Amino acid sequence: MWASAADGYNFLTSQSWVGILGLFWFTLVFDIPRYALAFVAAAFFGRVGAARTDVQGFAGRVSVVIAGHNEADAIERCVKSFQEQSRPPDEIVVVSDGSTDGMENTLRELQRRGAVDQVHCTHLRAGKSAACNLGERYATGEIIVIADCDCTYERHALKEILAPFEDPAIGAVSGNILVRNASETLIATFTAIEYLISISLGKQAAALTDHVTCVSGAFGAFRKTALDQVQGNDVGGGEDLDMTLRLRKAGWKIAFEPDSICYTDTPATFSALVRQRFRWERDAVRIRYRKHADLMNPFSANFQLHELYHEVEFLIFHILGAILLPVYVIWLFLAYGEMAVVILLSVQIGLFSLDLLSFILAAWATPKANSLGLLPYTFGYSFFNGFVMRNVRLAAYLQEWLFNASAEDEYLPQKVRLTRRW
Amino acid sequence: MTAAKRKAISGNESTARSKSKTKSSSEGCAEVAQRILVAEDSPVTQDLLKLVLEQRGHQVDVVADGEAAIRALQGGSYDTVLLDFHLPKVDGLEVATRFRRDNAGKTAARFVAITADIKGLLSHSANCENFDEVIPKPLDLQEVLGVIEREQSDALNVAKTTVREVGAGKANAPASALSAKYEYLRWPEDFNSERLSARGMHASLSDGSYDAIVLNEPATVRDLSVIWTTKTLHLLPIIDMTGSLAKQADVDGTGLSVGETGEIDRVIEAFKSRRAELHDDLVFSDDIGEKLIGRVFVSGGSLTARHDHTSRELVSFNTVLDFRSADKEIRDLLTRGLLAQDFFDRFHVCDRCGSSHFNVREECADCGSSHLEEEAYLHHFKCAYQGPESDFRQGDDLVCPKCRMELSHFSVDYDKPGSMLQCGGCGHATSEPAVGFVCMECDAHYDGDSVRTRDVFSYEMTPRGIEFAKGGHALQDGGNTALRFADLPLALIVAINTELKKHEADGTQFSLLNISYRNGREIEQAEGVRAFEKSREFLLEIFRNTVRKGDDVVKGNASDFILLKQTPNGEARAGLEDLKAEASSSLRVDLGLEFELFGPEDFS
Ligand SMILES: [Zn+2]
Ligand SMILES: [Zn+2]
Ligand SMILES: [Zn+2]
Repeated sequence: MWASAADGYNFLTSQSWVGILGLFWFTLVFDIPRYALAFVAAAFFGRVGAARTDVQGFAGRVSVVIAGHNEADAIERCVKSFQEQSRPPDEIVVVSDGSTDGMENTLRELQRRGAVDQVHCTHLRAGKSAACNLGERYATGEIIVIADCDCTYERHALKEILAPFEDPAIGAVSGNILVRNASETLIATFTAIEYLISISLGKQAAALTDHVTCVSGAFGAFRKTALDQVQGNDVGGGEDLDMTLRLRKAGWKIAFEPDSICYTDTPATFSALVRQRFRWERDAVRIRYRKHADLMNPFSANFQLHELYHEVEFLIFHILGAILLPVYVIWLFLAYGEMAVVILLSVQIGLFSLDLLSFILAAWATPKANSLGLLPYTFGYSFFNGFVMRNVRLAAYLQEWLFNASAEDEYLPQKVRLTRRW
Repeated sequence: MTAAKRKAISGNESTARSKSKTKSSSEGCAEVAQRILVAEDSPVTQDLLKLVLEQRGHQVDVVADGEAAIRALQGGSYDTVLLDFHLPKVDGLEVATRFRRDNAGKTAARFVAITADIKGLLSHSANCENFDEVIPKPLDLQEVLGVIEREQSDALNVAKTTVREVGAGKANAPASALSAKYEYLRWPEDFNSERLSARGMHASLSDGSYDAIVLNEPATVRDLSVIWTTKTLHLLPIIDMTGSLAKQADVDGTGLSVGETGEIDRVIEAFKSRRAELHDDLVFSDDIGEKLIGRVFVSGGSLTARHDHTSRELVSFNTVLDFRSADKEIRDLLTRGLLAQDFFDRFHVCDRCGSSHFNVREECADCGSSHLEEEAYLHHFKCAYQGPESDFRQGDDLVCPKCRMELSHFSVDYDKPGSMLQCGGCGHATSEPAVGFVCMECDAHYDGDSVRTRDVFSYEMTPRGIEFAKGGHALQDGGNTALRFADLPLALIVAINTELKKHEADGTQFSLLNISYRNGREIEQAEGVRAFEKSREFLLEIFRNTVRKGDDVVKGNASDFILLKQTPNGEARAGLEDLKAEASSSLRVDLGLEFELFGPEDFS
């Protein structure tokens, strides 16, 4: 064991620069650049999203729209977290989307107590898109905040998410999503780290170059005029990504507000996580490269270099990276035999350093998250994310690309899936 | 001169006089002392009336015949004149008639007839209106005092009468389905607000000659309230030929044709036979609750609640008493264990006015308006637009406001996943209307979950209730500790009166021993009424042999008495043990003897 470790060390240190490039091309192409932007942003702008000290309360009318299916148990806690806001909403509109668990009665009671202002209950499930559309149809605010039943919101979340609307060019603002059940299982802990790095840090970095491409469905705020212009949600899933892309096409700027914090529960088991990610990744592929394929077509009226950038970025780092990883591993074994293990190990050590750095940066950029307790899990996360989840994504992409699998997604009612064009 | 006027004059006078003559009423005296003339030929009745009335503080003159009465009337001014109908020389009716005629407009005296022959008195319908009141014999002393001392304004004027002309032929003519063999009281002829006709008054004396009350014209329960304020009328079945009382009458005669007397006769007979079983305590009771239990008994034993839109409580019982009055009494009867309840229905009640007449409607939770229009939600699958149907309406077509597509195929293009209510008052939309109650009498508004409810029950008489109806107070209350003068046998009252006079004169003591039988009811049930009565008689015979000569052993109604003359209570108490020992050694059965001692001070 020690002998082979020594052999491996000798092998690596004896390589020339060109040899190193030849061995680690995958990491150099598909991993290092992923981190680069955040590091650069951190280096050039100091603390990303440094807290504003002069947040003014948004003066306009604000509606919160919450749509849910069978959320009788969760809805009250969610509503209460909005009542507890430092800047309370002017109106809360709740849609029960064909619930059969007594959610209607809970809502009736909440409305009677004055906790919610409007309640719309349907008896047939229409899906998240249509349910939100119904709520937005009746919402009377100038800003419409979309929230999720099973999320809760930090006390200043609303005040913070409203702040960027001072800029009339801003069409939507994404809130920051943190994991509430991080300590539940190891899977949830890894996901908490992933959220912190990819959302809290990743979106802050993306916002610096105006590349926020998804206003999360769990917590986002929209200017009513912008929503009306794009006519609300189209058929889901992935309606949050779709909506954001359409707002971008329409010329609206999208902001990210790291101090506007929403807590959500993430899947606690591996199988549940895999199912969730299959859905997300398939929806991402379908929406980016089927529905919004025109963003990559130089002859389309919607073609802009700015949009091309994030489409290509996603294609390279998410899709191509996932596809080429197995190719790289197989190639390593074919070319270097046993020495491939050593090479992969050193790749993992390198990735871990990068992930550790990212995590520290993310924790620093999101002080409200109080996430240093997650630090010891970063190594496990690094392996899990770099090798396991990348293969989960690959499976999802292949399934969607080859079999158009999202058309079978149980997340949408069948009547709606049948009509979807993409 | 009308009775009302006479009443007013005498009311004023007695008020004026009250300043000088009133004694404190707390000592069992009348509030206003009156000058009373008693014209009565029976010495026992004379003694009795004088004793009772003087004890109440009135000034009493007694005469024994009609001529003496006329002389006395001419000589002095009386507030009240008690006249026996059958007086020697000039009868009471003649006395009253003559005096009224000779002193028209000048006298304030009230004339009260005392008679056992009510029918005879009332047959002189033209003259008997000269009497203000009639009291039947045998005399109920409480009633005598009641009539004499009654508040002039009292609405429950029992025998107050303006005797009106009632053609005898008309009164007895059978109408439609009424059988000729019965005697009927008729509405409205025999009733006039709080006053009764001579016939009505007659019937209220329960001499058994009337069988039913017939409504020939519409009447309300309120119109008939007089039956609850007089005696015994509430025990007659009510036959409604107009339908105005609906189910509160005992027979609805509207559907019956001439000669079809069967149903009415059956009810009359049923009432009649149960009336015969009813104890006198209940027949003559002044207590509305006891009247009610009496009526429930004679009408078959149940008080059945029914829906009734004409009542403000929306419910009435099968009796001519409004719900609220009945409810008040029922509570007491329930606690006394005379009735058992059975759930009937739950009603909503206005807290402000007590009415149950509500308009219940769906209303806007925000503004309370009931102007709600239902509208369907419509979901266009293809573009995820979901909104009210009116967003899609374009003439006959449904066109999606988002994607402009015409929706043509339900369940393929679109569906209607539910509906909502849009408020015409404030524009608010909801799928959950509130439920509101608006009181139809006072316009008060209540939320569906805050409006008060009232549970209404039907009632059945319990075995204890039936026992009470048949057995009266004595059996109900076990021993009746409070000695009521009126409960005492007349002979005993006279004897006690004599003893009281001696006591006042020289302080001579006497003791009255009241004997009651705790096990009386039990023995009656086990061995029959005769067996109990025999034992009781036997016991009294033993006592007669035990007491001194001159002491009285008197049989009473529910309990018996021994008057021990010239015996202080202490001495009597010492002798009690001997009596008890004597009784228990001679009697086969245990009567549950209970003794109670009274002395002169108990009668002051
Ligand atoms: Zn449409
Ligand atoms: Zn309204
Ligand atoms: Zn009322």
